[in-house]
This record gives sequence, C-alpha cells and structure tokens, in this order.
Amino acid sequence: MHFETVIGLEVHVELNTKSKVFSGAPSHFGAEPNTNLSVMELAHPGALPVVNKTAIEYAMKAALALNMEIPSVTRFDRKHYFYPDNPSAYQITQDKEPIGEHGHIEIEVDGKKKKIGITRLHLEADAGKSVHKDDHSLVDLNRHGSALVEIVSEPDIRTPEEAYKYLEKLKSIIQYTGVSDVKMEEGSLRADANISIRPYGQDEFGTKTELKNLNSFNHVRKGLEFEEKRQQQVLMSGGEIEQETRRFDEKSGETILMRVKETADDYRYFKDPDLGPVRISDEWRESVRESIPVLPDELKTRYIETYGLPEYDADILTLTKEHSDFFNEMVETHQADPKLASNWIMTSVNEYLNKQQVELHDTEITSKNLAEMIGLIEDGTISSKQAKKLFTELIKNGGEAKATAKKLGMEQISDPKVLGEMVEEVLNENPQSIADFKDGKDRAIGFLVGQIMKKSRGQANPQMVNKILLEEINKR
Amino acid sequence: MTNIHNLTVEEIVSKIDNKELKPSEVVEGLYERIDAHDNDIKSFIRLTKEEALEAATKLDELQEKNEMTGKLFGVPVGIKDNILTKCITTTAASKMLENFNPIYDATVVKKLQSENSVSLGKLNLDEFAMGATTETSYFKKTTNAWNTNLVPGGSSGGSAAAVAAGFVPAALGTDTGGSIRQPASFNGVVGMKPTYGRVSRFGGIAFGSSFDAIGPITRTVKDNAILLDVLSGVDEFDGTSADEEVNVLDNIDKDIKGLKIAVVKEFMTDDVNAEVRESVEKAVETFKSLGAEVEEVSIDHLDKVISIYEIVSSSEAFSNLARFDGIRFGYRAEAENLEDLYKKTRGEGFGEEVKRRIILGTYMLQAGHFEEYFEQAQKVRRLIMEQFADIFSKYDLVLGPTTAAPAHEFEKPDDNVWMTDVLTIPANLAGLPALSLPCGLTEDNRPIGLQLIGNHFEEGKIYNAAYKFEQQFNLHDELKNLTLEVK
Amino acid sequence: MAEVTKEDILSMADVAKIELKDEEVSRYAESISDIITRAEDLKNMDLADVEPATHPLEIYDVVREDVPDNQVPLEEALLNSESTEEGQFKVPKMIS
Repeated sequence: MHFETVIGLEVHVELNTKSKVFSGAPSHFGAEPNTNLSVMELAHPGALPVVNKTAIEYAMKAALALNMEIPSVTRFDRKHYFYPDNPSAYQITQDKEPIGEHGHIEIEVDGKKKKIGITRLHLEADAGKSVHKDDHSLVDLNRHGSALVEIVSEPDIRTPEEAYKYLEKLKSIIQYTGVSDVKMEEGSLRADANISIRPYGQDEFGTKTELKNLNSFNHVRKGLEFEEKRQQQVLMSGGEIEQETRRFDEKSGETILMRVKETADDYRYFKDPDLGPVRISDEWRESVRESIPVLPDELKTRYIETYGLPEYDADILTLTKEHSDFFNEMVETHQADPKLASNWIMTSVNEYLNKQQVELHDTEITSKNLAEMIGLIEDGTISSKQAKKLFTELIKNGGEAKATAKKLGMEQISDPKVLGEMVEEVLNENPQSIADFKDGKDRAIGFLVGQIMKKSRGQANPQMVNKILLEEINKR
Repeated sequence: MTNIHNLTVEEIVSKIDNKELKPSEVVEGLYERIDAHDNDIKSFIRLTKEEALEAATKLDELQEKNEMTGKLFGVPVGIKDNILTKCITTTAASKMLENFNPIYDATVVKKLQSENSVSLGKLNLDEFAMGATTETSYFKKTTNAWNTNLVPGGSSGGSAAAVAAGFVPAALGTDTGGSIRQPASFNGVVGMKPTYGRVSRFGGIAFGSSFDAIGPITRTVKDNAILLDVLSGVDEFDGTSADEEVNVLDNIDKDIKGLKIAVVKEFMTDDVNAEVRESVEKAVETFKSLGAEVEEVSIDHLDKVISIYEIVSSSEAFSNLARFDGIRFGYRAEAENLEDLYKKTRGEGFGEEVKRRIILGTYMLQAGHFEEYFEQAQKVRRLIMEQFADIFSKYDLVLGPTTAAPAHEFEKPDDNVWMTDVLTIPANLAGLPALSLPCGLTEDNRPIGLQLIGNHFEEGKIYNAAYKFEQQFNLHDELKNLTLEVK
Repeated sequence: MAEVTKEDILSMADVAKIELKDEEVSRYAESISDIITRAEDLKNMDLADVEPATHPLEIYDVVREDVPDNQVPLEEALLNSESTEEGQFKVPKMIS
C-alpha cells in the first residue's frame, strides 16, 4: 500500500516588543529569573491587561508579509488550563477572531514551486519557563506575557522536506519584517508539527500525532521522517494510529510517546471581558503594510533580473535579511560590482561565518569596506592574493580597506619614477644579463624582473616593471 | 464637642478646613466609636490604627501650616477587603488570602490617598464578594447597624454597616449584582454602583469582570457624589475604564422640574414587600411634587436576569479565581504532587459558596453548555441592554425599590429574597449607574431603599434627583440616634 | 427537569482543580440542577439573530504604547509565596 503524508505546522514566534503584550513589564531575553514582571504576569489579584499597540502592529506586519487578510476588528479570548508557567490559569489569546487569516507562502523543493496555505495568525501571551530538579520544579515567569504570535499552516505539506522548506521560508520572511529575532536557540521561534498518513486517493485525513521538542528545523525534518515511517509500519502491520503526542529524542532520532489524547481538550474559551475589541482601520492596516521592507522573493527576482546573478546566488543572498542588506549596501550605496560583491559574500564571508559560527553583525567587516576592497582589486592596487589576506584582516579586526592595505604594506608600486630607479639599479648590478639579452636569450628578462620584484619586496606593479625594463635595456 | 461619628464627609472637610477639628481628632474619635461598638457589628476585618494615626498626624502638621490640599483632606474612610491595599493584608474574606500582603495599591486606594483621606481599615464582605448577607466571610459575621439580629446585606455588608454605625463617613464597596446597593438599602445609607468603566477596577479582586464595579457608600447623597468625583476617571491600568467627563457635583442642587422618570412595572410586582412598595410609591409622589414627570414602562425578559447573572458571572468567576493555586501567593496546602497541590489548595482555601460558583462556571463554559447557556445568556443580556437604551432615549431615570424586602433576621430569609436580584442585577447587566438611597422605614424600624438607575455616565442626573429627594426624606437623624446596643 | 449528577460535579471539580467533600458534591448537584432548571426558558429562546453581549458597554481600541515601565522587584514578586528557591517559585515536580 502507498501512503500520502499530511503535515501541519504550528509555529510560535516571539515578537521583539520592548514591553510585554498585556502590561508594561520589560520584555527581553536573558534577565535574572522573575525580574521582568508586573503584577499582571504574576497574576496577582486585581491585575488587568491592556494590550500593547506595537504588538498588534507587529502581528499585523507578520500576517501581511504572509499574504494574510486582516479583519476590521480583532478580539481576545481566555484559554483555560492549569500549569505553573501559566499563572492566571488562562492564557490571553485569540480564538475566533485572530489578527490574520487565509495566507500562504511559496516554497521550492527540487526545483518545483509550491504554495503552502496558512490558516491563521493570532496574538497571545507567552508562558513562563520551568526547570526540573530531581524532586521538584522551579518556575521563572520572565517569559510569561511576552508577545507571541502563533502561525498555523493548512494541511498542505506533504513531505518532511517541504516542512523544512516551509519553516526556512517562514523564518526568512518574519526575519525580513523585523518583528522577531526568530532565534530557535533563544526560543523566539518554536515549531510543533503534526503528521498523519492516508492511503493515496482517500479523502479523509488519517489520525494525526503531534510532535514536540523540535529544537531545530533539522529535528523537525528528522522527527517527521521517523514518524512517517513509524506510522506506515503500524498501518502495514494492521495496527491503528492513536491520537497522541510524541517527543523527538535528539540522541536516537526517534519519537517517543508522551501521552495519548483520549478526548479533545476543552479550554473553555470565552471573550476576555477585560479587553475590548480593537478596530483595524484601512489606514492603519495600509500604513503597516507600507512599513514592510522588500521581502526575499521580490529581492531574489531583482537580483536575478537587474544584477544578472545566478538563481543559486540570489537564493543564498536572500536567506537572511542581514546578508541581503549587506549586499544591497555594497552594490547600491558603495557601487561595488554586483557579481564580485556576491562572490565575496558567498565564498569568503560565508566561509568565515561558518567556520567561526558567528553572524555577520558579530564580525568587523562593513559593506563599505568590502566594497572598497573590491575596488582595490579592480584598479590593480592589490593583487587577488593580497586581497585574501586583506579580507581576513578586515573581517577580524576591521578598518578601512585602503588604509589597512597600506598598513599591511600591500599597495603596489606603480610610480614610473620609483620603478625607473629600481630598474636602473638592477641593470647596473647585472651587466651579464644585459649581455645575454642582447645575445637573444629572452630568459634574462625573467631573471631581471625577479630581481626588481625582490628589491620592491613584491610590491612593484609587474606590468609596469616589464614595460620600463624593456625600454631601459634597449637604451643600453 | 461634636459627636465625630455623626459628621458627614462634607462636615469633616469643612471643620478641618476652618480648624475646628484636627485630622487626628477625627481619626481618634472614630476609632473610639469603633472600639466601643464593632465588637457587636463586626464590620471590620482589620483595623489599621497605627498607619491611620501616623497619616493623621502628618495631616495635622499640614493643617497647622495651612497646607491643606486634596478634596478629602483628613476624611476617614473604610475599604472593602477585596480592594488591594499595599502592605496591608487584603483577604477578600477568604482563607485563601488570609495572609496575602498586596504589593500594590488599587487605583481607587491611590486616588483616596492622593486626596489625603485616611483609611481606618478593611471591611468585611462575603467571601470574594459572593453572597448577599456577608455570612460567607471566612472571618466573621457582620450584623446590620440598626439591629444586630438583622443581616447587613452583602456582599459589601461590612462597608454599609460601618457607614451606618458611624465608624466611617464613607466606605468603598464593590457591586457585581447588587453588592453595594442592597447592603446600603438594608442599612439605611446611600450606595452607588457607578457606570461600568467609570471607576477603575485595577486592584479590585475580580469576581465577574463584565459586571464588577467599585463605588462609594456614604450617609448622604452629596457625600456620595464627593467620593465618586474622586474615584472616577480613566486609568492606564484598566483598559475598560472610560475617559468620560466626571461632573457629579456642579448640578447636584439643580431644580428637577420636568425630569422624566420611568417606573418599571416589573419592579413593582406583588413579589415586592408591601411596605417597600408603599414607600416607593410615596417616593414617586415626592418626585412628582418636585416637578418630575413619572411614567410606567415595561421591560421584557426580566424574569431571566437571575439566570443570566448566575451563568455569566459564575463563568467569569471560574476564570478569575483560577489563579488562586498556592504557588505565588495565598493559602498553600501540603501536597505530594502538582495535581494535589492545586486540588487541595483550592479545595481547602475556598469556602463552600465560592466553590459552588466556580463549579457552576466550569459547567456553563463546557463545550455544548457554552452554546446552550453561556452564549444564550449573553444574547438575552444584549436584549436587556437594548431595552434600557430605548428607555433612556425617552427618560432621564428609572426608579424602583432597591430590594424586594427590608433586611431579614439571620437564618430567616424571606421567601421572595430572589426578587431583590431581579431589581439590582439589570444595572450590572447593562453597565448602568444605579444608586440606592433611603426612602422609608418599616413599622419595625427597618430601612427601605429606593433605587435610581441612570443612563451610562449620567451619575450626575441620579445625584441631582437623589439630592432633591433627600431634602424631603432622609434618615440622618435616625442614623445619628442609632443606639448600637448589644443584642 | 434538568439533572446534574454527582459525577458531573466531580468531573467539573476535576477541571477546576478543586477537591470537594462528599457533602459538597451532593449539595452542588442539587443547587446546580436548580439553576439549570431555572435556565431552561433562557436556553429555549430563539436568538439566532442576536449578537452575544461580551461587555456591558462598547469600549473599543484601548491600547498602550510599547514603553516599558517599572517592573516588580524580585523580593516583592516572591514575597507572598510559601515556597521559593533560587529566585523562583518552587512547585512539586511538573510532568510534561
């Protein structure tokens, strides 16, 4: 029997607002436990929420970037469940009237483009965090109340690879909008997946399992691959898939049963009486839309059509906003040659980043300096061999390209007067070579050039040296 | 010397202003009264003598230097104990919060402080404001100030009794379904449930968030308006607080000739005690004699307000009270595992009435029941809101009794006690301001309350009418002569 | 006549995380049955066209600017907790 896989993804993205979504408590990563709190996050009696306008705008911005429709009114609901990291025992979220609906993004797998639908995007308060000790747990509420959006995909994804590409694309788009750091390692992007399989041709979906603890896109792919096979094996051997939640185990690469869901959860949603509806006017929505920068898909097309870059290069340059911004600045502000700029970013820059495991902004290089360095290569001031060395210096320690080249003694000597004196000296020191040349031994020229280069410590411009040498030797 | 306990807010302000009295004299005078009689009435859960005397002494100094600022300079107040006071234990009359030490002041408390009033302590209530007699309090049973055999009403029973007994000239109450007006009526004092959003709820312990209102209880109408003037206003910490002009004092003495008053037929049925009806009818005559035009109107679906209230307020309570889990504050039971920690803490920390309402709310929000009951209740709520909007497009005020019967004896509620809910709940459903003021005494000397309901943010009209009525009828002398004897 | 059973009450108590005494369970079953009986009329009304009222007044568009204000000091955050450790709230082991 052949099975078709159906995958759904729920992605949580923490918005980088300065304060929390329903209070003025500061919202930033890495503070001491329980120090980023107001009475709202502590769920003290009498505390009331007031929604952060920027959080609404950021959520709207993300939704618009994902091609979603924005309703004219958005409302908040209470979702009830008891857990120590959810101190009021209800999460303020959006049930029936989310801020965005009916969106999509386009992914590309094996050269084929595919549209993945996005059901909804809603704004909610993040939960706190807990650490588990031997016989007890400790709760830190710092993260609680941070502005979070949940983005739910349509069941359009058919393979773990598509899921991977969807996440990559989603992350890239959100990152371009600037509303989140989208760092999985800091938890500002989190993904849960659900997966079911069904025989080809069957309309109804199979029973799905949910996967948790997916700490990287790779784990999502691996977890889904494992789960796809596991479900196939269960069905092939006559078994049934149970509706359950499974945890991905990094070490074994397997998914492990956490709990079986017997009944659907009843969260007893109702409209939060403490929060009134927020109307989104056409003007507001459009002003947010205008604030969205050019997104990766459009940039990619521009790179290919305007700058003539290969599709592969354009893809890589638009993977992160930092890269494409860097490239744009090099080309647009500092007039670097697009092809050369792209080559340097794709090879030397990325090699360095990968090797050091850092981001572009962690290094010392600037778009201006790299553009200037490319200029030095183009006008022959430095050789490409020297450029490699100069690049390493610039990315490690910074500095302007020209000044640094000079400091490293890299600039070529092209002054005819200076070169003329060197030629004169070398000819005086090597009468035999002049004689050999006159006898028709052309090799003597090579020797003499070598001597001049040596004298200049490699900095003499070779073309110029050749020209002057021939002129002078013929005069003798 | 004046009997300090008989002074109104207005009188205290003026006597301090002309230096007849020092703030500390007022505070000490009232504590004497409290010490003498609160053993019987049991209105206070906690007295804050030390803090109050310290604050009063500072005000004395300001008075000496002629630096008397604030609309309530030196005015003692009492605060219902479901309103948070920083560093002063706030219990909601529950074992759950027996030792809860708030880390912030409710907005209303801040407002009172910034006008230089002095809080004398925290007043008893039904646990989490759930009840109508103050008997569900975990700590004590407050009695009616007129007769210690009678219930004080509830849930703001402590507030109303303390004001009537002359312990404080003003107190804060909260009103979710009648909890300010009904005890005010039972104790012969004036209680206002303001428009929803008129007064910030921040720092008031939530019960039914779409009904809850904080408001003042006083002995006179003018005092009540003075307090509401201070308490009102938009608050950045309460997104449902309204940015509406507060103008409750300027026109309080205005002629009410031509004022249009509607009497709701369904508020005057046989389910209302005859003596009460008679008093209210007399009040109607008084208003007519003052030049008001009174007509009868009818409102549909009033027979369903109790159901709406039970369903929606209990559902909101299920949600609002879910945070009491023993982890960050409040009572914490001994428990081996997390599930037990929750269940034992909440099972032991909450009283029976509170748990009953939480269970009811849990039932009503369950998938299926939500559509059958909760949403249905919210829909009828809208129908009732719309009818009030219609009435207020034609009339200035709605008039009726506050309660179906005067205060009853402990353990002996009248059969028609439910009718009081029909009278008080509509104002909460529609977010309307509603005032209870005395309009009579029964033959056996129990106060009767008149309720005036106004349109949203028209407390000024209510006070104006009430003030005029009060000049024709009031219980000031009876309140002054309350014997407060041990039963 | 609507009937809420003791089992219903126990299942609600489980959701609301409240341990109940036996006599409470019986009393609640009776009291909530009464409430449901009373709500029968309301339940049977035809209100398909009516929008549920979630707020007593229409208050729209209340938002706050994204400006952090003062946070609660750690001592105050932990002040009322009966069990803390390393600046955190201590609870029996959570099973996730």
